[in-house]
Amino acid sequence: MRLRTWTTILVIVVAAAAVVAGAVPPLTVDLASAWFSEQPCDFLTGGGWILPPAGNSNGAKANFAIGGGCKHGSTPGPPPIPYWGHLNYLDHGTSIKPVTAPTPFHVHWTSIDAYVFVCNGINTDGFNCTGPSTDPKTGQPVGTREVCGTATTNDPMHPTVHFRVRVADNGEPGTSDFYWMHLSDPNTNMVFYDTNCTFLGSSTPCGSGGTGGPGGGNIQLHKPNPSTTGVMVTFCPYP
Amino acid sequence: MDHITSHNWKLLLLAGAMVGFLAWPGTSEAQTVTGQASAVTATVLGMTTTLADTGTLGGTSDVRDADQLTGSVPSLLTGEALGAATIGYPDQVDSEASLASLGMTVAGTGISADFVMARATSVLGGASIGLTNIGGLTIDGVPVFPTGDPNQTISLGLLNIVLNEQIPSAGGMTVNALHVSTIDGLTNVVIGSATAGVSSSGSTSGGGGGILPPLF
Repeated sequence: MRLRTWTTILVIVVAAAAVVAGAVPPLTVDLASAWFSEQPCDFLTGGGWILPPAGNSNGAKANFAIGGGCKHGSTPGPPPIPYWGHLNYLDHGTSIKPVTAPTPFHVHWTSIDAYVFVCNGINTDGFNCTGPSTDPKTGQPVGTREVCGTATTNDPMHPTVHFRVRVADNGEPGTSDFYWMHLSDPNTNMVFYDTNCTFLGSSTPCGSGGTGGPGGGNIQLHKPNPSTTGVMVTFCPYP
Repeated sequence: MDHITSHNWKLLLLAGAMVGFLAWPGTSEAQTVTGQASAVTATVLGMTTTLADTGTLGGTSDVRDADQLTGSVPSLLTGEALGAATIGYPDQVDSEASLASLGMTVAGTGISADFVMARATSVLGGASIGLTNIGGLTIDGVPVFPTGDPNQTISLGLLNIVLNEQIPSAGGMTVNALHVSTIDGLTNVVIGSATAGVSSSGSTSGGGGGILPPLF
């Protein structure tokens, strides 16, 4: 009996140490939260410009500043606890902006509602995903994230919108970083503005085997800090 | 059927105590962090204007950001998509500031850029990293290509212009992507400024002010 007791104690101590060290995830699993990423939440910052697609931008740039991440228990809920971040976007072109919007078309965030881990590996559900990897030049993580939220615009037909911004930090000097933004009508859930996935400083699509553009800004992932309690999710609540 | 004796309960308590100590943060040196970022800091005739300024980092678990859709300093400059952030860690600070579509006139000289960004990272016990992105820079309509070297200086009559200005400080550095000043000192403009620093005070402290947490 004594040997069994010591064995039990040893198992308790080793298991607890493994959980504390992060070697294994906690055993408590809530099926309702299955869309939560197992990756620890982190931060994303960046800015730059792209040339919106459709071949009609005439060199007119769309400038952006973006930030995202968790802070103090961020979760989509219930109840929702806001995420950290910001989005500002100004499109000086006319190729994809709503016809009712003035030029430049303005988008300014009002809330950050989700921060999404996007798996660059085989598993697209965010679980057991390869990575994150690190940029040897900065020691910072690299990868793809989405920042989702609510914004106001200067388009009278779309004064309030949902945004979904997918950005990637693919290392320095940022020529392989990309930006992709959807704006949708919160009433109809229909996407009415789509930049397509575009390498920074260009109109070059980031798909089709493209490896980068000339560069026009930088996206930077940052490792978690003690305030990043909360959860990254595996998909954006907005289209 | 086994019964846990009083002796075994003591052993379980001992095991619990060990778990508690494992879970409690170990003793470590206290760190002091400094972090701040701003898209624009302009001083004209003694009056300073800042745009998208994070303010100072509050500690090793703080994160701060600031942003503006557009920003301007009347009769001096305009910019778009201004953003700034500073992030603290127990052993690191990251700071970043940027803006796009810069248009500026200082002492009659026009300066514009598609995009300007400054980044600074300081790691405890390691070298600080300063990075600058400046795209589409022109001075009086003439394209200027940054070398990427720290403290690239351009002197133009009444103006001094420093690209990728890197100013070391205790445990870190300040990176000013574009620093324009007049030689009379009346105008001083920094576009994209990021400060990051982390240093050890040499003292020791527990994770909760030296008070052990309850075991159960």
